[in-house]
Amino acid sequence: MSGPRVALRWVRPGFRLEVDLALPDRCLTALTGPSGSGKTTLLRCIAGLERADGRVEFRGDVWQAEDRFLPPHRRSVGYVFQEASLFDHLDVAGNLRFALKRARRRPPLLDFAQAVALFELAPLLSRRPATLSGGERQRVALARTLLVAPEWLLMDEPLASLDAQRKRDILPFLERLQARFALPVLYVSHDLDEIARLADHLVVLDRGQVVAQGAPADLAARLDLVGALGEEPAGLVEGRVADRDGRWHLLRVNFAGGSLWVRDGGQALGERVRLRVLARDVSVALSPATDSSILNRFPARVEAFADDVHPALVLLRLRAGQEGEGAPFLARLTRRSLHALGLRAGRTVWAQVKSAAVLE
Amino acid sequence: MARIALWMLCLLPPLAWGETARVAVAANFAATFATLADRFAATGHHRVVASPGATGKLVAQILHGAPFDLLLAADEASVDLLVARGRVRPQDRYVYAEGILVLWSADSRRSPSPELLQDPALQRVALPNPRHSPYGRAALAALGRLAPGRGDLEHLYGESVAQTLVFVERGGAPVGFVALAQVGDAGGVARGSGYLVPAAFHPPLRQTAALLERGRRNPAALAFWEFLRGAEARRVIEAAGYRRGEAG
Amino acid sequence: MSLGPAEWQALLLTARLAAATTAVLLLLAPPLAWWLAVTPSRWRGPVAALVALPLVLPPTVLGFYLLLALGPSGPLGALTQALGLGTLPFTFTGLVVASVLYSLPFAVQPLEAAMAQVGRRSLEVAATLRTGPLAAFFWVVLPQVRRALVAAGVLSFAHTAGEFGVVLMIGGNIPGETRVASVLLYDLVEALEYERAHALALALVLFSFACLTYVYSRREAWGIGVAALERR
Repeated sequence: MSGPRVALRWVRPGFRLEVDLALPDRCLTALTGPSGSGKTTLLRCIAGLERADGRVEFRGDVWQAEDRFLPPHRRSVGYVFQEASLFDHLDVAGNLRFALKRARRRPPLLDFAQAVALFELAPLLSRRPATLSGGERQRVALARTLLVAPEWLLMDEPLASLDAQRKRDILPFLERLQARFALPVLYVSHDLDEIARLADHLVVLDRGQVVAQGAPADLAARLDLVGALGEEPAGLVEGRVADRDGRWHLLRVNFAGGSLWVRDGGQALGERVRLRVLARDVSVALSPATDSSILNRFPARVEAFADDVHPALVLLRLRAGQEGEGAPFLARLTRRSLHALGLRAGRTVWAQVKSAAVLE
Repeated sequence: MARIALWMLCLLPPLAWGETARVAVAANFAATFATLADRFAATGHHRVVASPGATGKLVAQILHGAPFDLLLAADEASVDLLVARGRVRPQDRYVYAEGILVLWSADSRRSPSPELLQDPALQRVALPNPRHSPYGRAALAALGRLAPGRGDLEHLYGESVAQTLVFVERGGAPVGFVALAQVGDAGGVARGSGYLVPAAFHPPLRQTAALLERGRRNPAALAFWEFLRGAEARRVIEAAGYRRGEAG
Repeated sequence: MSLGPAEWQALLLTARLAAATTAVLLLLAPPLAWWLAVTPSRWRGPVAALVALPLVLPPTVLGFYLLLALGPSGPLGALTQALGLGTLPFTFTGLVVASVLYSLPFAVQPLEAAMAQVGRRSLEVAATLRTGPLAAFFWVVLPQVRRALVAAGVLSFAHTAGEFGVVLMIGGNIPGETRVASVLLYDLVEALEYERAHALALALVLFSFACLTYVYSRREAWGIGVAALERR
């Protein structure tokens, strides 16, 4: 089965959204980009909430074409809005039943009891939306969206209005969602952590245009996308837990071209993990300096460099391994160091990593 | 209990064995009409109900389609207008009473007189608006005869003789021109004190009745039309404080 | 001090008129209020102004134009006659038509304020839950403004019960048909029947007070709906 195809043009004074995307089916595609790049608009156009010109096709059904425009309620999308969207006049159970009654696809993705169990809603069922916390509301909204049995899930920054703690509460639900239903999901976010954790595919939007798409780790290390992928440039690394040092509470994570010691978060040996390594935590040396406090060092090859936010700084793109065959990293140096070390593309160096975060 | 039963009767639609006629009644004649309506109801099965108001307003409403069967106007000209507009056949009209104008005070000791109108201490007099009240026009003419020098006298206009009466009664003006039937009867002024303005001092208040288009098809209206011209009605009207109208 | 048959008849007629008017308004006002609350149309301003006109115009102006329009020689009068309905002025139906226009802002404004609060977002959420616009209006918008609906109903009822000028112009003071309490009160005063006038007036005062007490006692819960009325 082919994935969703979206070719849309939406023009307003001062803004033009023009995209042509073929998205993978049955996986989570993250949509990111600076604010005002048209992420929400694209989602709304796909859902039919905005009337764009062009074509939307989903698993062979044409939702929109030159001579056709299915209204939003006839498109089998599920939409999770950024802020609370629960109906105030209904309690939690009423909100869920509202969706259940209107589900068209048989059999449904999950029934009422399963939804309540999956999102741990049992204690909330008779509460009014106004009495719920932000995290509780989004859990109800997620459950409600699934109960309407969507074939394509559109999520507009569902965690944006939540604080860090609440985000950590909800993320596992989103991961479970993905694992369980194998729905295509289009997920708007500008949080690289979220994306790294959830997304299989990433689309970067800037000023209404798709500027890049591909695997999140590949895109994160692209110097040309640094501005579009959040405020703090970082590399994403996929690895596997290889060793545990109980005495110092550290884990060794192997990745293509090297390994890193990270804080022990309780992951099992052999577990696949994603690491986020901020560019500012990576420095470069010409020889392995063993007298430094820095624990992690591995050989890497300089691939390219680019201007950073300040003229004193540059961003380097590295690839782990003697031959530069491994995982990509970003490093932030002063222009003066670059000059002093005489770095240029193709040069092999020692990358020193001050810290790396396991995305859990 | 009897009282409740009476209310219930009023809420019921017109009973099957009788018809109801709607009568537009000049304000000055409303009280007299109530007596006539009672007497009429006693003679048969039919009923009449009144919609009191200033004659000018009633005529305007009739011209705009108000569902009246009969008009008891305060003057002749209004009916002339309806005849001219084809709403009343020339034969369906007659003068049912001639009104008597009174210069009236709520104070029974004041006894208004032509001299009072000349008294500079009197600054204000109430009268119905001459624009749409025949009594107002009569009052204006009478003022010209009774107080020719009083250009300074302030006129307080009531919507009709009924409102004028309220104005004087509530102290809006010390005296005012109203109809005798409002404040007394054939025996003279009974409430407060008044001066009966001689008929010669104003154009006659030839209160004219007209049978309207609708009334010609309404048995109750036709019955009341006959009743109004009969001897009993004429006695009631004269006793109430009107001069005799045309013979029936 | 007590009420006689004529007074009861007028009060009952008033209640019937207010009930009929309120019923019509509760059908008419919600869609109109919704349109005003969400439309981006440039006609919104003029339409909102038109709806609000009875708030500032003397009722006699409205009555006068209705008389001209609905009378036998008026355009709408010609239409109703052609349809075999006769003419509306001086009939109960005519009073209902006039009262609907006259009380329209009292029904539309609290609803519009509440609906603006509910906003388009509710409709969009409903659409993503497979609910079309019409169904969403009934199952999502109306339930969320139900308190404003009650307020609109009570205010329409009370306002209609208190109207006078319009009735005077196109009512014609016909007992049992168009002689509502306020008109009868006027008659009673003109006939110097102050005792009866007092009883009737007191009945009207108590009724209006009860209605407004009901509305204002719930202002916390009704929030913006009543607040909109107070701003005037």
